Order: sequence, then structure tokens, then C-alpha cells
Amino acid sequence: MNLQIENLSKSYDKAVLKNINLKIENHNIIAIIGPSGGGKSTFLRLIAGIEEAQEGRIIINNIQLSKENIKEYHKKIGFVFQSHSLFPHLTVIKNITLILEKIHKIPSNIALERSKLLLEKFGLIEHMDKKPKHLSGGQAQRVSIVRSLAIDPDILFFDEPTSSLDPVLSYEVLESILKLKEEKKDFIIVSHEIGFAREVADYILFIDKGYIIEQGSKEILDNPQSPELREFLSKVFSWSSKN
Amino acid sequence: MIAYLVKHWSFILKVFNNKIIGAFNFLLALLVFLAFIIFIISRIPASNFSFSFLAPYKQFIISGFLNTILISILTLFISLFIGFIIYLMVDNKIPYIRYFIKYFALIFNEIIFGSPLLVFILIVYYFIGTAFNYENRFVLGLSAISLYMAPYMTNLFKGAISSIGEEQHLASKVFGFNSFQKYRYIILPQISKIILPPLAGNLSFIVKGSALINVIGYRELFYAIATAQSRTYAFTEGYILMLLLYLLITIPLIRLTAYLERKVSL
Repeated sequence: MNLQIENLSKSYDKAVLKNINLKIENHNIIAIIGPSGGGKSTFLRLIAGIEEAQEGRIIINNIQLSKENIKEYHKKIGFVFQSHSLFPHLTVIKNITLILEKIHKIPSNIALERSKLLLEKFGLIEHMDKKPKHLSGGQAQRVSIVRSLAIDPDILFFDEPTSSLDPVLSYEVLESILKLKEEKKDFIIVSHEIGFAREVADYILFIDKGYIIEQGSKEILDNPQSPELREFLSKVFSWSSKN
Repeated sequence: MIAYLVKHWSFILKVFNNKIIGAFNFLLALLVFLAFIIFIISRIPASNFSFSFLAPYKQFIISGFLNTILISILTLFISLFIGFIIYLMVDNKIPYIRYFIKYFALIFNEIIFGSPLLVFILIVYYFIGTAFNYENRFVLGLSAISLYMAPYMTNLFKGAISSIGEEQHLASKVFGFNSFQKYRYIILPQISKIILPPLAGNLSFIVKGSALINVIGYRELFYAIATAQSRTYAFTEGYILMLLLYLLITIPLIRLTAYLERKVSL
């Protein structure tokens, strides 16, 4: 995907993102890392067009996001939230087919077929008639991934998809995301799983205090230049290195 | 015998503490109410108390009773509909006129919450109705209670919809649902269950409120019995019958509310 960002600023009560400029070309998987409250989730939501910036331009795959084209853009992207955000009154299969049928106007038999195929692929077919409350956190998050994948999106967005899960459940969700890499899907992931980011991403952004402080390939993790990234990595890895 | 009682005393107490003693205490409490009513009746000077005075007006009273039920059910649906429209008006995102629509709805709510139902009915019938040269008692009475109840229904929607998590709104946005599709497929199916208990509660509120439209001469229960009373002078009997008939509608509704609350919370 190609991503170009010019003078992007966003503030709520105080500034969250400050005049961000960025140009990424021909990278398939982008990981965004950084401490909590640094602005990385907001950054992701802006690129996904869920929220609007006060200033700046976002050009993604050569299309500049605007009020006029945001509806069309949303039909071509998938978004996976921190908690699964499945619709609780619908079964797993209906959660997927509803969007295909009502938003993408796909005939119901084809929608059902496609959804079943994907659930099969992600080992979730046995849960297709369950309501979300009867799924484990990991299963629900994986269904959420399948739901986003079913619309055959150009880009998928993940906003800390494992932050509400224990390590075992996180593992199964990350496995599912790895599958997307094999499928050659483009995605942008915000994650605190640094090891996973290193494994999966071909471009990494480190965001802190509202700025992109470092960016580049996974080498930036091995050889951090800024004190912020050094400090962040030392905190993240402090436990694993002590053991 | 006494030895037996002493030996099994704790068991006997246990049984009594359960359902039997519960039913017994319920009957006892009910009896106190009945005793109070009998006392009040016995204090009436010319105490030739008999419901049979009202017998000639039986048909009239029955039709009043049915009219009360009819207008209450219609009010429920109409106010629910208007209440939802008001909710949408307050929450609207229409460019340019957004705040105008929002404040229009909010001012209406303020007026309703601040005015007594009786006053509102009188104004709708005698002033608004007259201004439009319209005087159908049924339609104006129905409109008055429906409009009056609508903001209460709005609050009901507000509470239920706020119980739906922010991420679901975001999810429906990012999947490309428009507002209509969001409400049709995501929000309304979820809140239809949550709002049932308070809705049944509002219905009993409506039934009680409907008694007030007798002031504009609509023949509901209060009006029917009041008419019968003025012709037979059976005031005591009339008011007791009136209370009993209202309770006949509202107590099942109150029980239904409690039942639905239990069921929804499961």
C-alpha cells in the first residue's frame, strides 16, 4: 500500500497528534508501536476514517480521504477493534452475512457460502450458530477478523487486537493475523506485542507524545536512535531479559 | 403431641418461613386494606351501600372501560413513535440545521416535563384544537396524552441506546452502515428487549393519565362512571368501582413489568 500524510494534527482537549508528515510506498504490513496515550490509536482511526482530523491530508493508495468519499472508502477497508465489537444480538454467521448482504448487496446464498468458507479456514466453523457471548475472547476476536476479511478489503486495520486477551488467547489471534500475511493482505496494526510486530511487519512506526519519533524496517528495533524508543524498548523487554 | 411439636419445631418453622407463611402474610396485609375500606364505607352517613344502583349503567361503564384500554394502547404506540422521532431530532447530524432541530426538540421536552398533564390536555383541546377549528374529543385527547408521553419515551430510548457500546457505533460506521441501516439492523433489535420492562411501566402510567381526558368529555372509564354517579347519586360505589377497574388494568401491567425486568436481566 501507499500512504502519504501531510501536516496531520488532531486534538481533543489537548493535542494528541502534532503536525505529522509521512510517506510510505510499497509496503504491505505496517506496525505502529509506542507507549499508551502516545497517539497511536488515534493515528490509526484517522487513517481508517473513523475520526476526522482538524488539519492535514491523508492520501492512501492514491486517494485523498474526504467527506465525500469516506462512505466508499469504508466499504473497502476492514477494522478490528480492541474488544471484538461483534453485534451481540446476532450469531457468528449472521454477524458476517449481515454486512455482506445489506452493505455490499451480495446475494444471501453467496454471502453464506463465502462466510462459511472463511470460518472453515480460520477453524471457527463449529461456532457459526453461536451468539458472541458464548465465545471465548480469542474466538470472538478471530470472528471479528473473519468478519472484516469477508468483505475482501483492500486494507485491514487492527487496533491493539490482543490487548484485552490473556497470552494464550493472544497467541491464537496473532496466529490468525499471521495467516493474513500468507494471503498477501495489506494491513496496519497497532500493537504492544513488539515481538509480533517485528515478525510480521515490513515497516514500523514508533509514535510517542503525538509525534512519529522513528520509522523504518525492523532494524529500528535492534538499533534505536532516539532516547524515547530506547527507553520504550528497555521497558518492554525488561522482564524477558531478567528471566 | 407437644413433644412432637418441640422435636420438629425447627422443621415446622422452616416450612412456615417458606411459601405458606409468605402467602399467609400476603393475605393478612390484604385484609388490613379491606378492613380499612370497610371502615370507610361504614362511616358513610346514609349507608345503604350497594353496587346495584349502578346496574342500569353497566353497558355505559363497560364501554368506558374498553375506551380507556383502547386509548391507552393507541397512546403507547403513538408516543413510542413520537418519542423515537424526538430522540433522533436531539441526536441528529443534519448539516446547517442540526442545532435548530435539536433545540426545537429540547424545548418541547422541557415544556412537557414542566407542565401537569391536566393543564396540557385542556390547552390542546380548548386552545390548539380551537385554533385549528378541530374538536374531535377522541383525536385531541389521544394527541394530548401521546404528545405528553413522548418525551418520557425519548428518555427510555436514550437510556437503552446509551447501553450500547461505543465500539458498536464505530463498527457500524466503519463497515459502511448508514444511519437508517444502523438503527434498523444493529440498534433497534438490541434495545427492543431492554425497553420492554420500562415500556410496560409507562403503559400503566398512560392508563392512569387517561383518566384526565374526562375533562374534555371523552367517554373513558372516569367519565362513564362520573356520569353514572351524577344520575344515581351512588358516589361511593362509583369511586370504589372506578378504583377497582383501574387496578384491574394496572396491577397486571405492574406485575408484567416486574416479570419482564427479571427476564431481561437474566
